[in-house]
Amino acid sequence: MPRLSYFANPHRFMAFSKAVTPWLYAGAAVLVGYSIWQALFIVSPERYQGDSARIMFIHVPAAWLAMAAYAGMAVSSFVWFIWRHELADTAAKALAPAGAAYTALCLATGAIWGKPTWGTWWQWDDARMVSVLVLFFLYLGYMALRAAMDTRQKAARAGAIIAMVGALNVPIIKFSVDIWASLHQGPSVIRAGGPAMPAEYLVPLLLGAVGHGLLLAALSFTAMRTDIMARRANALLLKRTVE
Amino acid sequence: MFPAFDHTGPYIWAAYGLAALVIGGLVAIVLLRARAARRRLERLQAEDREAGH
Repeated sequence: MPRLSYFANPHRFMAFSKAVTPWLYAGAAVLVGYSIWQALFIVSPERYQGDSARIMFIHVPAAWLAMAAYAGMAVSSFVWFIWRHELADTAAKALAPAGAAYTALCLATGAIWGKPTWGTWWQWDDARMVSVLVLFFLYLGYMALRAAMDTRQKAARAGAIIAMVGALNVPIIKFSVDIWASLHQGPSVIRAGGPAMPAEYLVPLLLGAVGHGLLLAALSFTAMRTDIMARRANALLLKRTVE
Repeated sequence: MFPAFDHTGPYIWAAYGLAALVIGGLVAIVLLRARAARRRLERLQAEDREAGH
């Protein structure tokens, strides 16, 4: 099996991603579609929350993907910072818009779920809510900072710093419900003693999360390919100017 | 056709409608940008070939 650094070459990445990306979109469509079908038509209402628990099948994967995308951005930024692999910076840049979209979706669906469940759209003293809001601002800050820089190298350096420092917020989000009082319940999927959720809910939730993960990978690969093609086009224009 | 939910139905449809809008919009934007970049690169490469580079 080739090492990850093998794909650090843009030519190899373009060939690899061209073959893989359509399958990622297809896998995502099947799994996300299955999860939504189960959520809306098959699973029975939850004992305490009733039908509103169906929002979980979109809210929870959005929350996981929001954190996973930021963790991926931080790792890619670290790789760029240490080894200066341009493709690592391209990956970090590509993850940001999708991560921001999933974070916005997590916040919005959380507010929509919170109103019938807790009687409020938002609670400022809930550490989980506020730390996810901070994550959203970190994404916006990352993209704004990159856009404000006049060279790609400066954008990569500034972006890498904000991505790595901001990564401290990811474990805060995860453990916020254990550390501080929160309207959110404690972990019910990833926890000691196994998931505290019936298989009827757990299976479509996990398959949906895998589907959203495939979609994030597909979107990131597409955005990386776009970035590489834009750079190749700019290089051609620069060559013409020089000649 | 549509399932009948309890009084929280509007919240459920709002959440899934928003999800369709956000995810659908994201996919559309990413794919349209990719298509524009590919067409631009192909056009420049074709111009270069015609110019004999």
